[in-house]
Amino acid sequence: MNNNNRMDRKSLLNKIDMVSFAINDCTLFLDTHPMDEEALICINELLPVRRSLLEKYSQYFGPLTIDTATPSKKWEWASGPMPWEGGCK
Amino acid sequence: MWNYEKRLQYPVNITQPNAKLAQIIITQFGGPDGELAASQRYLSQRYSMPYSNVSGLLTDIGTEEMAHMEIVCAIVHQLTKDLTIDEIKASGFDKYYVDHTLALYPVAASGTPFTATYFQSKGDPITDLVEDMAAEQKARTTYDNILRLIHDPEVCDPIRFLRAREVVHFQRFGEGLRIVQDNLDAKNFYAFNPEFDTCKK
Repeated sequence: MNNNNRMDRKSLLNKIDMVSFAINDCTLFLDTHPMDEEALICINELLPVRRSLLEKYSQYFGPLTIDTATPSKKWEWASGPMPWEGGCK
Repeated sequence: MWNYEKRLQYPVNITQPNAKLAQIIITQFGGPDGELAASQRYLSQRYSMPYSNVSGLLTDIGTEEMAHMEIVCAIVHQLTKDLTIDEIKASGFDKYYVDHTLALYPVAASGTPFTATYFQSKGDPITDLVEDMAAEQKARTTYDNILRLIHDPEVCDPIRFLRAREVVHFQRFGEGLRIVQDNLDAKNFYAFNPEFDTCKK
């Protein structure tokens, strides 16, 4: 993987982390404020963004979720770096 | 059931191994106020919680605690990767190494193995939610203590994220407690236990 690709991967993963975190925080807030209009608007905007980013990531770098796996010739879900390995090596 | 998502909730990229820091931080994996205890506390309590939005909250926070456990384990793993025997001996990591090599095992900073006695699942929603709020504050204090002991910015960054989540969870559990109390007798919250007594109204 060349340097450019690695940067793309990092920035795409970063976008997924950010939108997923916002969804997670909205989820907890909505659990105790189920009628909050602002939070409902927020999570409705974020959910399709996360879905499309996860699909894009799967297409270029392999699936992060089983729902976005698109296996063809080789099963890639269990291969590739594990998330705890970090980016240094 | 659960689905695994192949990413950390917050990234961990540590370039300098340091077994001394690992021995402190591992306490948030297997220690008394760690993420393993937190996840098992909430995920055990939720089954008998009579109000569905509060059992939903316990499920969602319990699930996030498992992601936090993974972040703590990633920090410890990266801090102990590629250590030499001399580094293991000099850092005092030898006592852990002899039993677990460089694998992750849930222990407190003192070396005490994880025990389910770190948490309660009492079957009374007021009791359980007050414990949950205390648990979030105890974890927050532990992260504050960790941040006083360590200064490596690559380690402090994810620790600060975890600390901030304790504060948010404390707030949400406070709201959960309010929801429970709204369902009880306003003159006497303790008139009956809605997880056990049948006279719910």
